[in-house]
Amino acid sequence: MEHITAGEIGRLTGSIVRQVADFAPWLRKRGFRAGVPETLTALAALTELNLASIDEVCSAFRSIYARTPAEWGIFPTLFEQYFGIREARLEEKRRLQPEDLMGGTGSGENAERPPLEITQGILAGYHPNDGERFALRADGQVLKDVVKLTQLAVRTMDAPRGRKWQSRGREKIDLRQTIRSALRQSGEPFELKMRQRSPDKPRIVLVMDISGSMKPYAPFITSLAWSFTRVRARTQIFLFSTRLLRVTSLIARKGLSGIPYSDLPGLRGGTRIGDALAQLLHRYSSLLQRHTCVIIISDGFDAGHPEQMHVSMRDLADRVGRIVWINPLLGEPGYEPTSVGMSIALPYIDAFVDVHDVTTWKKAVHSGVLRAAP
Amino acid sequence: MNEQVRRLQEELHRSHYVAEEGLATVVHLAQRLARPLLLEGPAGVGKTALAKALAAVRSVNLVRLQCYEGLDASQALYDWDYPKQLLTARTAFTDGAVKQEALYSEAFLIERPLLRALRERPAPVLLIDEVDRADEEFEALLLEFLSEFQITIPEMGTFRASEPPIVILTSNRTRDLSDALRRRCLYFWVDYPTFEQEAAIISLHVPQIAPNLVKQIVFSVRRLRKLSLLKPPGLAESIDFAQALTELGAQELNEEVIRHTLGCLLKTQEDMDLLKERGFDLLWNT
Repeated sequence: MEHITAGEIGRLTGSIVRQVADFAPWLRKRGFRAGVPETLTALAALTELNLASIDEVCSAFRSIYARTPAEWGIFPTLFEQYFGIREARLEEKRRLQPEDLMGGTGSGENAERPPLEITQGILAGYHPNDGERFALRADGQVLKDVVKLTQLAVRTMDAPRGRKWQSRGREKIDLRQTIRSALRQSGEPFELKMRQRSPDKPRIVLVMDISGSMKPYAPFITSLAWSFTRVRARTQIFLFSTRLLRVTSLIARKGLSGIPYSDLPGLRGGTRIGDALAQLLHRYSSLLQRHTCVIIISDGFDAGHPEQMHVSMRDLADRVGRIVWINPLLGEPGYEPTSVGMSIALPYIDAFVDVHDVTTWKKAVHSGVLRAAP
Repeated sequence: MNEQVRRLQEELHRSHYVAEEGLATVVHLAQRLARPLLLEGPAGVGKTALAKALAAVRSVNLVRLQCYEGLDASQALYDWDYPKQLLTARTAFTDGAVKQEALYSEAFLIERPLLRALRERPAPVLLIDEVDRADEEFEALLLEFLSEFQITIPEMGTFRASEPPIVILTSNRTRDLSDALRRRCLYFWVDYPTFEQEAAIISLHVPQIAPNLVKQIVFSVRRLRKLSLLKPPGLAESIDFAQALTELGAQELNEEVIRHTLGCLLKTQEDMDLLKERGFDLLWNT
């Protein structure tokens, strides 16, 4: 546990205790959420370990300080850097990759490098700011309004049936509620309680384009994503430029203060919507169900191969209940969705809307954009 | 290697579980520091099997809580025996002595897996399987249990384990788990095994198989994992495949054998179509 006795700590030298105590603040500067409880656990672990075996200590500390696959991958390099046992192994640095690429290929031996693709002869889309990356920061002014509107939007969504729902066409007595009620009346079941439809939370997958061309809309879109984590819905949030990165916990935790560059490892400039959606389909297929509503926020400038975009959109549309595409450019005068990416995606989209501020989001919500067609 | 860790590794091996040194170390620490152990990794790499093997090593019961959407306290912690309560209340009312607090006592309490794990002696291994499938609310419900090994029942008070169970949580990462849950656990990323480890595991589970065929199986399964499959084969699939080949008396991989046994490795039509496109010889040609 997080308690360590004087006897146990007495077996460790002052130097070791100091080094371990300083390790947590050092890790915090590198994005780890390590605190005093972790230090105490690490010291307690040292009393159980063979200190001569540094690999054993590294294994144990890794389990104590690392909390995610990304942290799990980078920890040995950091451990070696801090304790200075040997020179950092360069091959370990490859482990600092987006978490979706870590899944199942954590060891260096198994790591599958992304295929090198060269596309020639197709001008898929172009924007002057393509390639630039930016940190996400929510607009505090609009958050309150956005949350209210998002609550309304989620309430209008079709939620899957809950576990208590009986679909046999007749009402069922809810024995538990009936008896609970009867106990309040000296055990006399005056009132029969019937099972009620208890809808599950709606499932939403939000996929946000953070390529340079989307920069002007980033504060509002971050606010919108943050608002989805505050309403009654099962929401997962992904970012993409050329790769896909799940950021649900980051957005939920840091939506207001903003997400710095260092928290978005592996994302590079440019936009490959088709590739990102393919990663979503393969890595996170369990999120994509009949009741899932996928919301893609992008201007549709796709620099990937059109065939990939076509295949990904087709497969996504087959898999999920509804695809909503939010394109902030749609409100610009004279804009036509004629870019290659956008025109490929359009046939598979259930709703295509302009949302770039509170007013347009309100308009979209009132038009029932998240509600499936009857 | 620490002597105790090495001994644990050997005991796990005798229970048909091959644990690498890092995993054996963290399992040893989880026992010694009384901390829950969170295992994450791809499906089919042996996360659940570790809990079963550990229960066998310690010669204790395995209490399993399978998580799913909508799981709540009445299925995970405890429930009340309502029909019995009703009957007792009616009898008491007839006798003119209704004592409502008596209805919320041990006699009417139904243990669910978490409460059972706290009260059982000797302390069992508690497996909270696929915790990512449960709701966020259920995670919050687990926090008291994971940090203090106790459960509070409002009508009765707090139950605390005098001897905490060994708790193993598994997750396939269908969603992110909360920081609060992660903080309370030791963490281990269970990856696909190395070539040698996988060969050793298959030989352990299917002892009658020829070493040459084991190498071919491991080679082909690792090739499949590198393809962009919807459901890459895990260790369980490798073992199934090896058992199927043994049943059929196959001496080596060839197209006919693969056609008959492909269902052991691939579990979706899309994956099968992809392999047919690439050609079955991908599995045995170097």
